[in-house]
Amino acid sequence: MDSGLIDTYLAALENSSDRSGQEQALQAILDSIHQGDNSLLTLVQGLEKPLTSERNEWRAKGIKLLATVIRRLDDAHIAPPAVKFLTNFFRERLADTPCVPWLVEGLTNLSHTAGFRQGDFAGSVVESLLEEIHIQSFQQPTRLAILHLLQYLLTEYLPTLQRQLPSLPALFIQAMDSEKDPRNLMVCFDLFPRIVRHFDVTGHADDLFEVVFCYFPITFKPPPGDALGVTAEDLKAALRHCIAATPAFGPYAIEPLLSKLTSSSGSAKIDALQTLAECASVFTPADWQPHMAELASLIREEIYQTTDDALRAQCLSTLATLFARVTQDKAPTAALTEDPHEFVKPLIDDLVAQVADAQWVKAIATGKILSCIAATSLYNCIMIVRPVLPLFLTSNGNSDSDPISMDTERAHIEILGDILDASRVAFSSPEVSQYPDLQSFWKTYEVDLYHRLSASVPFFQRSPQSQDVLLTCSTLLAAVSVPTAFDATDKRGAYLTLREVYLAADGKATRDYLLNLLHQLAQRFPEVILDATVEPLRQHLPDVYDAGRIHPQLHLELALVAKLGAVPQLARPYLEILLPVIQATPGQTTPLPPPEACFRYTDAVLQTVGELLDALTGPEDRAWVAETVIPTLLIIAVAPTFRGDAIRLAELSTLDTLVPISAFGQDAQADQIAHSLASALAGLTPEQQTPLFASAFRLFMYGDTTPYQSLLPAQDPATTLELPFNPINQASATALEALSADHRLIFDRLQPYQRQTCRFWAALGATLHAAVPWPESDPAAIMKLLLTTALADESGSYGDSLALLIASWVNKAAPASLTLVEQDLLPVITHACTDSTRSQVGRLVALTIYLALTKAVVLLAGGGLQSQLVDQLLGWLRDPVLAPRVAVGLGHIVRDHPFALTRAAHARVKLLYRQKFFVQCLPGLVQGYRTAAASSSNSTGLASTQNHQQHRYYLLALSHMVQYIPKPVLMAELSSLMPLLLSSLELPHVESCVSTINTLYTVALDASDLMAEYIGSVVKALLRLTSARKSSSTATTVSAESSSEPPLNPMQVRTAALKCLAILPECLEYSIIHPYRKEVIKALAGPLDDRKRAVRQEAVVCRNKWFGASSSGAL
Amino acid sequence: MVQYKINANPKIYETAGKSQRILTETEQDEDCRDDFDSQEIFDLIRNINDPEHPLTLEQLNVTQCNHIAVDDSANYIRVEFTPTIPHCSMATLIGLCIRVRLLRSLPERFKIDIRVREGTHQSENAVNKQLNDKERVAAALENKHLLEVVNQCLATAA
Repeated sequence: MDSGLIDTYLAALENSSDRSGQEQALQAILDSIHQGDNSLLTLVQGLEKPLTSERNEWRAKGIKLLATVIRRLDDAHIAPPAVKFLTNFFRERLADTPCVPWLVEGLTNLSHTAGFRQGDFAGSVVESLLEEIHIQSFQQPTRLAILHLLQYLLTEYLPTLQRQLPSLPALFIQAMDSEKDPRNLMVCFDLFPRIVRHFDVTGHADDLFEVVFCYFPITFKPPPGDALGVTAEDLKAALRHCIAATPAFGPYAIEPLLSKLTSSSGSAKIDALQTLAECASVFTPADWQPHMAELASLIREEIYQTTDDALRAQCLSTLATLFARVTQDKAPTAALTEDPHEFVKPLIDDLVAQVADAQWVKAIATGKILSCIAATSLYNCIMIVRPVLPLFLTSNGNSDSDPISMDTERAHIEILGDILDASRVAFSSPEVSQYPDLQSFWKTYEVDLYHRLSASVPFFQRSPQSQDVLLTCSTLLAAVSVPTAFDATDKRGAYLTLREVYLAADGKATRDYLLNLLHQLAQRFPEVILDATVEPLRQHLPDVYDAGRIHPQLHLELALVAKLGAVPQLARPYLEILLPVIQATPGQTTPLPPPEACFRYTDAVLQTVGELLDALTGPEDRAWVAETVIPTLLIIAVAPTFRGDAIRLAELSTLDTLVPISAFGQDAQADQIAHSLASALAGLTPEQQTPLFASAFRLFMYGDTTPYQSLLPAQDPATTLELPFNPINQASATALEALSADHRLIFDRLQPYQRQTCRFWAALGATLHAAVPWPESDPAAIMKLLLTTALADESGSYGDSLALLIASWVNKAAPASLTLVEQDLLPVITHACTDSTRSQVGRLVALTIYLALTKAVVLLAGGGLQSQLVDQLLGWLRDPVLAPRVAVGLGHIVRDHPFALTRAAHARVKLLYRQKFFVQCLPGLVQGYRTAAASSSNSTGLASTQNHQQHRYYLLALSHMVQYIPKPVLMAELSSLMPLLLSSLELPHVESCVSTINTLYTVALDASDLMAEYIGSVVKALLRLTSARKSSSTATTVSAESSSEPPLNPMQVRTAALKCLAILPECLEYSIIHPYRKEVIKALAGPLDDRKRAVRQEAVVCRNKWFGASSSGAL
Repeated sequence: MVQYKINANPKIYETAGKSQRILTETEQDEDCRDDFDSQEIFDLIRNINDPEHPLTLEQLNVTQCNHIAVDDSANYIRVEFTPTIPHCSMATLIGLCIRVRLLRSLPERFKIDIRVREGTHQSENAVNKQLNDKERVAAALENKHLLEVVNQCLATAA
């Protein structure tokens, strides 16, 4: 090679800042090789002078050039002979210390070439690297580069290395010795187990173990702001893999690990326990056995003494793993006859002694240890159950309620529960079926155990601590859940016992706990539960219903059905029972039951139906829902508005009682059905949705009931009156003209109810996939028609329903639909909102549609159209008629609707739409508030009152929005928001007030500096809200019960205010809160005597935090 | 310097760890008044730390729910506590902690009697007299060191 090119490059290297010069010189060399003028070999020849130089830096520069050129060349220009030559060339020079960093780079670059893969160089390269280089004498980057090269070669050329370099383990010991950098150690800890597993370590096991165990326990703490990303946990886990890399470490590892168990550091103990657990399956039982007694004793003492839950859990887990290992070769049947294993026996003896001495805390801990061991294998389980279970099968203290007996019973049941839960795990092993003897193991204990637990239930029902009976219930569940134990009759008996306790339980938390136990039972034995529940449910529900009264336990029964029905196998049979129950409308009974009873009954049943529907998620279940449940629910809800007993309907005086009962005329029930329909439809595919919605469309649009005729309840045709269904006024005119005068009168009375059923149509329409087509060819025309119909009606729910339908379509059909909104719909709605000749109700209906459309557009982050809509809404905050609804509506735009215009309802929802909307609204709200507040203070009389009202609407809008706004946006705008938030605390609306208080809570946590600025106003405002009565000055001295006035601040507000006040001493420096401390402590004396306990509890916490805020405290 | 404990190895009792009270529907109804009861008072003092051990008064069985009497209408509360050993010199301090906790957490309308449970302490009368003497309690709390100890015991109770 032309020495000029090389000289130019070397000269450029002299000037380290001349990067472009170096690059140009290098490129010239590469070009000459690419063009075939030179090759790598001629380059080496050209480098003779620098490479043979006496000066270290010249030789290093020469090697650097070679390494860089190899990296930049592709395989075509690095011929196999050149690879062989260069590999040997680099290897032979590894003793030249100044050149080592570049030699390693050169070898690394060569190792990635095709020529290297074809050759047989890996062994010689690794050998040279480990023998020629004294790795510890280099800086960290070079050491890391060598380790990375080793890592690469070990991954790619393992068989070659095994063949060529059997002495690699010994060589690696030297390479790794004394390494301290965490980055390098991570690579070493990766290499170590691979070398140990794939190479013969005979003769080196002790050295290898020592070189790695010297790092145990890891106490590394990354420096603050560490960008390397190596954590102590990474190092600990990697080191653990190294120690557990080979059984050959067994004789060396166990004792040192045992000594670490007595360490004073909790984390070292946990680390040692985790390492022991990881080693358990690697080291042989023979390695473990000499140490098991000491290990068990050390870990057991740790369990007794520690207060750290994580350490206790790790102790139990490690001990169980070790016991499983040392007994792994034992046949399960051996435990049926053998005495307890030598390692288990001391634990059992301990338990017996602790039970005899009534040391219940220790006995329960020992029970937990034994349970953990029992869960590991059938052998261990039987070995422990045989001596332990009989200890607790004799009941104690059933005759009186002596607290000592209660303690005894509690401990007995808890230990039994743990042992039985462990037995359930052990006997779930498929191994059980291989041993016929085990099938009858539990027969010995079944009768006594069942009686023992059954007797404990009534015993604990006398206990003042309601959790005692729950303990027995969960133990009973554990008992019947043990595979091979107890037959279906006992399981059914357990279900009935749990159900009985559930029905008798007081308090939601207890009932929820029991419901969860019953749910677990249903999950484990669905057939048994189905058998035990279906028939009683079928018989029980109609009885309650026909009687026209509510059974006191109906709600509890239905909640149980809903919880059990969360198991998919049970949901469908339950629904098959409940749907006809809803359909058996009370319109057929004589006399009519009280409406209130019917409403409460159907409320409960409908809620259960909704929950059962949520459990049906399988494809077959979904198909059944599409074919049967949705049409049935829909027609159940709609039919009473157009079909019924002729005589009854003719009595116009009873019609207004009958139809709401039958057609779920109360909002809560209709919403429940709408919600059930929506959630059921949302889970279907577009193909399943299309025919369903087409039928529903024809039903509501044109009154076509044909597809639903087969689902209508059977009634005598002679006495049944069927009228047209015409909620949208689009049914055939001939059908209406054919009605007699009497029937016409009935129809006119029914039509408002028919319109109310449009909410079910809206529920279906709002949850369609965007791909589902509307049945008409011109949906735009339908939307215009729906809008006109909605604006013509002044009953609230009708407008709401049609608004949802229109808005959902607009959202899903965008962008084409946005043009329709802008050009056709918006002018009409805006006019209807502002038209002073319309009634107030009519204007508010129009506003509802406007708000729904705005939401549809905001979800799409709809640019100019969104700005137009939002500006208009902010402008209407000055309109006395529209402002209250606008203020609430702005909050509804950012809040998720229960079933429409959400992602779950397949709406198009852009990311960050809330942020954009809030940022768009905020300036208008702040400015509007300031203007209105200024006008209020400048004006007098009526004008002042109006302005005062007006500025409250801005605050109301803000407080309704603020709770749904993501925290980062809120924090960015806080400085301008705080004065408004504080003012909004004076609003009388509970929801807005709680929302604002919760926002202040977040501010205190995340922006304490800003909170410090407003601390005086915040404390004053919150203290005012903690009082139940009007006069805050008397709150501290007068008992709450002496006041007959209704409370000014509801419980939710008082509790929220106290919680917020309590967080202040934690978030702010003492110097900031000190001026208010006495005032707060004095004022909180009032809430300490609040009429509600929940408020008092918060007041106690809050007041004590303010007391504790000082270093000394005072009364 | 080695600090000798009055009772170095106390018996530890199993506890529920949290309030046994279950939220009922009436407690969520604004119109119903929830009277003070012994469980509410017990929940206030159960988690006070023992001055000697890192254990709560409930864990040591010093306080029990059924040793508390409350008459809300008569504005009267009586709390009886059981020292772990009959010669426990910490009994007065424990009583003082209970007194301070209740003073801070209950309305002023209540008269609160704090007493050692009958027959459980050698100097029962002296301790009771000391604990229910307003002036002596006030004087004790003016001692900054003592107040600091009390605050430490109450730190876990909130």
